Amino acid sequence: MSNNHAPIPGLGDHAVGFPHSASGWGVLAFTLVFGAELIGILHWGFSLGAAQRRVAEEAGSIELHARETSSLSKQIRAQAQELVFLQSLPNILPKERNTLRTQKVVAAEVQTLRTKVGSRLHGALHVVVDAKANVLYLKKGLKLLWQADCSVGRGGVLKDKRTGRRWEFVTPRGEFRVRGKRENPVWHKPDWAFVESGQPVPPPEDPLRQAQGELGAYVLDLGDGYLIHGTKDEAGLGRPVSHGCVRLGVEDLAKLYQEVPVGTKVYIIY
Amino acid sequence: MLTMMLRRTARKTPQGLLWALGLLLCIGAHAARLQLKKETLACRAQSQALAEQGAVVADAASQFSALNELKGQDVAKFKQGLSRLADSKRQVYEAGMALQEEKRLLEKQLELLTTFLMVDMPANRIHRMRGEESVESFPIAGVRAAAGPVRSPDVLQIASKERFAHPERGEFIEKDGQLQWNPPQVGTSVRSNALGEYVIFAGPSVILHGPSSKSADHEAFAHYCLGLSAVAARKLYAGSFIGMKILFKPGLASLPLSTPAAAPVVPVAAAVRPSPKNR
Repeated sequence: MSNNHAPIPGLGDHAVGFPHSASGWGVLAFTLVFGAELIGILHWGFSLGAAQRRVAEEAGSIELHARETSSLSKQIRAQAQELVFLQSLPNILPKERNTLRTQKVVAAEVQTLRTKVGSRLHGALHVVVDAKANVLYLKKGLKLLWQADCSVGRGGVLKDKRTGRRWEFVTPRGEFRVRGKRENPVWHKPDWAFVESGQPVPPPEDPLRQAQGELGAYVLDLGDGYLIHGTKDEAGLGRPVSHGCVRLGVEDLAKLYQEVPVGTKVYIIY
Repeated sequence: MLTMMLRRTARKTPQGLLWALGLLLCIGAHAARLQLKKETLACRAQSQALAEQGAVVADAASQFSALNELKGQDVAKFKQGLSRLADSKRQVYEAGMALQEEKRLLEKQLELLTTFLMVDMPANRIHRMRGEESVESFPIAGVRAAAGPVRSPDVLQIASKERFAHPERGEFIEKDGQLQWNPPQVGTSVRSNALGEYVIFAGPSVILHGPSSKSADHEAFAHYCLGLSAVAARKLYAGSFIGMKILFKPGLASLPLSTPAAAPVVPVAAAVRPSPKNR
């Protein structure tokens, strides 16, 4: 029995004692087959793992692309909507063709008017006060030199209950002339200024009537009590807030004072 | 120890059972290997399919990206074009507005330059003329002239307009040695009563006005005037402006004069004391 139990080379201690017989070869075959199967299991196991990782990666990639596509799709839709909106915008504006045609007609009328007015102005320097729009224009003939916001009479009537007198605060329409110019004028407050503020009316030469700085740095006298002067309330320029005079801002008044000589015509239009 | 146990187990266990166990192990391992192989192949096939789908999705994403880029370019171009279009239309609009504004100013200025009053004495009417055309015509209710020789130019100009003819400066009264000033009172002034509400001063000598409040005061107040009805005075006042020319046809010298007895001739320039309106 002991001769049959010699160790089989390569099988280690487990094969110790197995005889060199059919059963010994059977064990060897079993070991080889089982080993091969185990190796196959390991191989396919790793392969399965790798394949599953690839599937996960592909799925992840697809999901990423799907998200990207979805986001792009939203962007495209938004841009398409924006385009539709933008295409609808020009419809807000008037049709250019008609506008241009009308403008051409108006331009011809303006040209006729220019000829008529120009022949009467003879290229003279003059001031136009648009009392509706509260804008003062300085023109030489038909050429506009500059324009500025001004304030004209606010309208309305002030009544003095005590004496029954009434004053109308309008800037009169008409053709005036600059009759005089003064620097640092003192405002001799008229009766209505006291009536308006509810104060007793002082005698004509009373010092209470003298108000320094109310009219700004310069005045241009248009006659009949009307002036072009400055104002402390420049925020009111562009609106009819005066009591009948024409108010200008500090810089514009200085410019007008410099550029307009005495005798210059002033047209106040409505 | 393990070897000993195995040997002991091998000795004790019948050989047939060992073979059967070995065979079962081999079959189990084989089956497991086949199963793993099958699953691996299925997984690979799935991976392959996913890879193909992924390529399709990536392609679609790329197309979407390109489309998005194109749309973006379209929108940018459209905005640029729209901006230019809007700018162009704004310029057209602004030019139109400027033309309208200039037209309005020129029309108003031309109206000032071409409108005048024509007093037609033979027809007893005052015409508001625009060029050669009579825009409005008002009947003269009465002509009043002070005594003395009247010589005025045939052309006058409106120097002043008063809505309420009371620009007087009141009066000083000395009371207890002190000078007191009494503001003018409406209704007490001869001038105010004589001229009424709508008063137009033409040049240095002629006044156009509506009905006087008191005819006695009108007679007493020395002036040259053309009387108008209340409606005509209001309309003429609204339609006239300072600086407006007044043509007399024929000249003022031929006005029929009525001479009030005690009325001294007061030059209108003195009678017209401009009220201090500066404000």
